[in-house]
Amino acid sequence: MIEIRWHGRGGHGIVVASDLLGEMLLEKKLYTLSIPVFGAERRGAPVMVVTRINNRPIMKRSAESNPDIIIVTDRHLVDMVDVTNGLKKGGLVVINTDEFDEELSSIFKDFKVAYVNAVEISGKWGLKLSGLPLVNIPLLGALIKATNLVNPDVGERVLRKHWKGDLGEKNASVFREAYEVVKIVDES
Amino acid sequence: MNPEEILYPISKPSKGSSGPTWMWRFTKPVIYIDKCTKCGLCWVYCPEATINILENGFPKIDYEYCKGCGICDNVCPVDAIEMVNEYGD
Amino acid sequence: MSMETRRIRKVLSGNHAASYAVKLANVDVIPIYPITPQTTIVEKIVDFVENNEMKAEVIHADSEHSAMAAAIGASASGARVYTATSSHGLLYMYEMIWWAANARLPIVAGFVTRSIGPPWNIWSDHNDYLTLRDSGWIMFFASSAQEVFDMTLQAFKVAENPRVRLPVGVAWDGFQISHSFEPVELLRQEEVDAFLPDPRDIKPLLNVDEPISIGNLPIATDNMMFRESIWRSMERARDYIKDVMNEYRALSRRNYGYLIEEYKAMDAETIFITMGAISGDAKIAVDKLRENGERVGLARIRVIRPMPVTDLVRLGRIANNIVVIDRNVSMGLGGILAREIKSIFYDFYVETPTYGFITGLAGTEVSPEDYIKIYRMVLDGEVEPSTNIWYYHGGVMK
Repeated sequence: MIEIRWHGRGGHGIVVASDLLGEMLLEKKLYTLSIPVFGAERRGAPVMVVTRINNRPIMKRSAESNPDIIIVTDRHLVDMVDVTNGLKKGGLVVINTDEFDEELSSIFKDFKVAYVNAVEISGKWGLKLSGLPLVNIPLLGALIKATNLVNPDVGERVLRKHWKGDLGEKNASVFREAYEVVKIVDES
Repeated sequence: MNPEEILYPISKPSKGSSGPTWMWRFTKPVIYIDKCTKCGLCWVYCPEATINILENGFPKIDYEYCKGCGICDNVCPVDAIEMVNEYGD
Repeated sequence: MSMETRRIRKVLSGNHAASYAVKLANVDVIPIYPITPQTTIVEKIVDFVENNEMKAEVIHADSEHSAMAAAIGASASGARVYTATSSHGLLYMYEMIWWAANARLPIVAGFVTRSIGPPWNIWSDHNDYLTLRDSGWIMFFASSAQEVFDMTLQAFKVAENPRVRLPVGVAWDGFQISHSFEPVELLRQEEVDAFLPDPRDIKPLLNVDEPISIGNLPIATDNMMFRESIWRSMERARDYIKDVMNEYRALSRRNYGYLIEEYKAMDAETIFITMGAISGDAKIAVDKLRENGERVGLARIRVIRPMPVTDLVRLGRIANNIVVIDRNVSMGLGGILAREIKSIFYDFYVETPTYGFITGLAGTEVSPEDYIKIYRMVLDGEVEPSTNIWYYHGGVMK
């Protein structure tokens, strides 16, 4: 079983992203279970989703996790939440950041890191909600590149099916761009 | 009734299923036809449907089932209904 | 198989699984009032109706009480009716919930369990749903999005059976199921149409050509007979539910058992009894304990009313210890399931020590490790067979 823990804020769209990851993996006949954990249930407040992936039905529904992968939608979350709690040694961190500086490098020194400037990519393609760039789908692209969980063509197809027309195109584009530009550092 | 069957708590409307309810009456409504404007409010409000509208448009009370509640007196806008003591003063 | 005859698999939340079942069941009327975590069920249904994928009357009521009142009116006219609520919404609906059962209306409702405040809390425990237990509603409890879909369809068939004619509730845990996404296999429309009775066969109570009153004052003895009639229907429903689930199993090729689901219970010395989302974690604990040679099993309650008396007595006779996990509490008495199971055991002279753990309230975690700790507490004699052992995640005893 692979466990992914998403750290985001209300409005970042991590619930939607984990749902779409499930759709992508469905094509490989894999079982997924995405469990959301909201705190204040309000825009901007830290939220979490635990996604479990297995080749047989998933029984565990408690949110306590020892993830193989964490996804962080906003580098400031690192100051608010113990994002690496329980993350397996040598596990993967997928993070949205404009630069991978020394601070992040020291926090994630035991892990493999995939970083991408999701804000810039979404901003470039005009993917915004209430004025905020949507960072969920670029991070999904980065995750797929770093893990090879599914073929990115399948990913794009699922996104185009989920959002019809222009919105589907934009999401498929940010997904693909993040997939291509994500940088991977392995210091573990 | 058989509880082995599905029992529905429903009833069909029927006249006087509790017997002749005039016996419940202490005061009875009397209509002064000369004051009546045929507005029909007494007919609308009678909770026991004991007021009928005649062909000429005036109301007529069915004293067999009228329980004497006085609602018709209360709603009559022109004071054409008066409650009088059933057993005299 | 060609594409047309294949079943669709979708990644759905538990709530959306219910919405799809309602759509496939061709429900006529859906009176609703929003409350977290129920709201996304009816949001999805409204999407279906707006996109002309479903033909139904959605009534935006001004409260849950009004929503159930509208459901009662619609069901009395012979419509197939669905509504849903949670927690405080359920409590606000409560008067009409009893009305629906006493009027013998085959309404199906989704109850997404949520803790009752104050303090404010949106997470799951089962006290809201368990307030229905004396009302005459048949009560299902699901533990996955797939089971929400399956049970919602089965609920219509059970409710509308002319020998049952009672409302059916389908419950599932808020967030852990309602907002968790997982693959769900949908039945095809033709399959659902063949499985469910024609909604036009629902006997309407109301008919404009033959006016009636519902609920008029009867003599007291008749009134008592109405209650006995509900009691007898509930008793008959126990077998009929099994028939419906059996038929559905053959159709869907999914097997959950009937009134209870058993997991490695056949040869178990200690049996956990659970309900809802926290049962999956218990199965993992059973597997881990069995790897160490412990003879432990699980029974998950899927139908609470009518109560699976025979199944529970059989398990009580197999096991040396029964461990009931209650995600609820009856203040001043103990865990509700543990109390009810103990009273059933007493009726049948089952003297197996029965331990009732109250845990997972207000959405607190119950992980596989917690079940293992609970198991050790019982086996090591750290607790007495009572029904009010308060257990907090991580093993903190208060």
